Amino acid sequence: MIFNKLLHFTFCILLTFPNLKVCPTFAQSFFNPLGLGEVVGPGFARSNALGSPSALSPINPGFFLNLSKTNFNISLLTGGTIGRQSNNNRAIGAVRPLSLSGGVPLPTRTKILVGIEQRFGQDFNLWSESLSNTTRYHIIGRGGIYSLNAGVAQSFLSRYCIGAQFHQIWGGSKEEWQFHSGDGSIGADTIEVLYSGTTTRIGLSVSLPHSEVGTLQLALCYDPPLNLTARRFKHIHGVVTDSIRSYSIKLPHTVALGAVTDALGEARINLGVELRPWSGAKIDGKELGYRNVWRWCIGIEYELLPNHPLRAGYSMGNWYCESKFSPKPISEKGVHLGTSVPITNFGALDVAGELLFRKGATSAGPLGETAARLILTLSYQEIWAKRTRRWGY
Amino acid sequence: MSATFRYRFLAVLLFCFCLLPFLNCNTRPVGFDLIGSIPEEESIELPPDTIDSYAKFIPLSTAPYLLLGKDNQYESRILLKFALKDSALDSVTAVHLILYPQGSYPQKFLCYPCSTDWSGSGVTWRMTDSLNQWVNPGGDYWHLLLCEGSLVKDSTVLQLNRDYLPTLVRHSYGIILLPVDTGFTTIVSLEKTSSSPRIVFSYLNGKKRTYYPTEDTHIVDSTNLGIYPEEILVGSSVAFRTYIHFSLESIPPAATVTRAELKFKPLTVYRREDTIRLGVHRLTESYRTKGKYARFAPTAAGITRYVPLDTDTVVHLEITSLVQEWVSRPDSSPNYGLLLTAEPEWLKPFRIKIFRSGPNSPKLKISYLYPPEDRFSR
Repeated sequence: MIFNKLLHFTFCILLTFPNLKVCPTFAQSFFNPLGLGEVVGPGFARSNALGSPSALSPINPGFFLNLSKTNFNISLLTGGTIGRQSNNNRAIGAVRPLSLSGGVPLPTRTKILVGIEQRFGQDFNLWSESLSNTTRYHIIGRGGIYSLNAGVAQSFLSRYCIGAQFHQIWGGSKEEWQFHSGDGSIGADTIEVLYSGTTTRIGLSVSLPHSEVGTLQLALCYDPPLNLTARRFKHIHGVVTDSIRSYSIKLPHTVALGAVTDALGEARINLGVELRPWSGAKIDGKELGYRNVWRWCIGIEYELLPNHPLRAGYSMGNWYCESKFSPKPISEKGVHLGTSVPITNFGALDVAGELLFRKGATSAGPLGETAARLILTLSYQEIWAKRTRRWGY
Repeated sequence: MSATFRYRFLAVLLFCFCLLPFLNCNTRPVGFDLIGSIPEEESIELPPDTIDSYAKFIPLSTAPYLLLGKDNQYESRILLKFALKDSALDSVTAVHLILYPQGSYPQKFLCYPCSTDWSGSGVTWRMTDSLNQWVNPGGDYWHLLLCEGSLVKDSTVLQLNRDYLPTLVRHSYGIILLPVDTGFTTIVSLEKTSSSPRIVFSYLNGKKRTYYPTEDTHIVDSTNLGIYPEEILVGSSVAFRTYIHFSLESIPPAATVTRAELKFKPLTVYRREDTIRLGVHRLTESYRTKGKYARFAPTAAGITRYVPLDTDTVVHLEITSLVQEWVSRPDSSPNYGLLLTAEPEWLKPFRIKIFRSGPNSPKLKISYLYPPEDRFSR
């Protein structure tokens, strides 16, 4: 009953509050115009709740110690971001699917892996100051860089696992530059960029049993240097002009390390580190001016109630790109929380909430944003008995 | 913690997060300076490279009133056409013309039967329709005075000379009202059925038959004006139109025109309207080759209105979309120039003078932006 009243109250507030403007402003981050945009983490609520350690998430093809079950994960992200700069505040928000992954075991302790993940997010929504008395820019960025992946994981001796995953990179972004006057929108130029490329991700994990302090699992995820092709189209007032251009982008490798242990008894400690030595990133042979950055995270998972694990995490790191006018990095700190709700005969619904605090320097003063995100992952886990009968072993 | 409680808690949580994108969407410039290079706005003020003017008699049947009057510069006559029945004319005892004036000016007039057929959609002071001319400009009529009267407030009832009834019914094409005194007034046209002009036949048996106009219009002349050929004019009733051409070669085709404004300071020469309304139309044919017969878009690209209370009135006409078309699509929308007209041209007579040169002459002020760069180039 109390929830029905809460819903009713929320609707009433929305409909009656006089100064509340209701209109969609879909965007993820105010920093997304920079570089290739925001690096998107694993995108699975279970991992996000622990601080998003990439090496300990399903995006690591080598982190499948239990390879005997068919599993399937689909994630949805919804969140809002509040940006603050020079006494101005603005809220943006986004609701979108985040990731998709699945795995099917084979009899040889092998698992076939497939999935779709987002690597970079380029959603933004910015308004300019007035250019003259009346005209303003409104720039709406949409899109991102994704990968469609397929791979295989193989377990050895029940302690080691190695995996490789082929990634077909694809995606695109669309920036619509609208020019607004007091009379409304005047016109719009559109810039489209289509991305393509391929890479192979390698993962490795090992389980080290320790009788006194529990089990320790170590994981490594390695993304080799990525060659991206970006094709740009400019639509000036709806007409494709001759300004079509191709860029060749070279992103150096990424290394993610992770460790998880149950040395504290029922509490599992997760540690993750990501290294992005991207200062050598180039576009058409010229350096992009990116940074070497690292990100670390720590998370803890504890079963407060049976089948209801409580997860919490903390992360910090810097963005690989920065404002052209300010050499200071964009810092990001995050607080992560989550849990799982078991679904009988299916799996679980994993829930994660994140609060990300970002800060960057710009020519107009510091820009800070606080992003609140809710990630839901519907996770299917095949029941062992059923699978046994199906495969006959 | 019951399952119902958990699911409802999650539902509310998800619902609240889903609402976030819809809340508080202000347009403050947060983060805009992260865009490295912004195309700057530039402005240019262009003088016309060609300016010309012409006068044209235009059909005025679309006007929602009928104008009657004259002075030393204009004369306006009214034409009314009725479908009168050629039967039982002998039993008609009286014929009454009923008019509903809109103003209070007591305009005297004469009423004659028209001797030449005319078409409301094409009739002007010179032409009976789009092809044929009057024998006598200003309308051909039998010199048989049907009535003579004065328009008075609310309604005017005049008895027509019954002797000329057969001529009116069988050999005429409606009636024409000629002003006698100086001054102007208007009467309600057939658009307003309740007070449109009408002719009422009264019969011996006491019955009456009312005829409403099938067509009506007024025709306006300004031929007595001493207009110099080089004068640049814009006016209504007798349409004075001004052709202006600006060269836009200095604007790059990829530019976004943020504002284009035609401005000038006119001199009011004559007016019978309190508010002057002007429009600017896009020419669809070359004025240089077709002259006054060059076609133009019927819908104005920009409209303005002003009250010429003083001589410092500067007229602004915003034509951003049109200039953008010319700049970005010169092949499909060639720049044949602009035609400055009264908007609409059936307005009561006014005439403004536009200066060819000097600070008061027309100028086209254009503000524009260069195309933006992509995320890798800015």
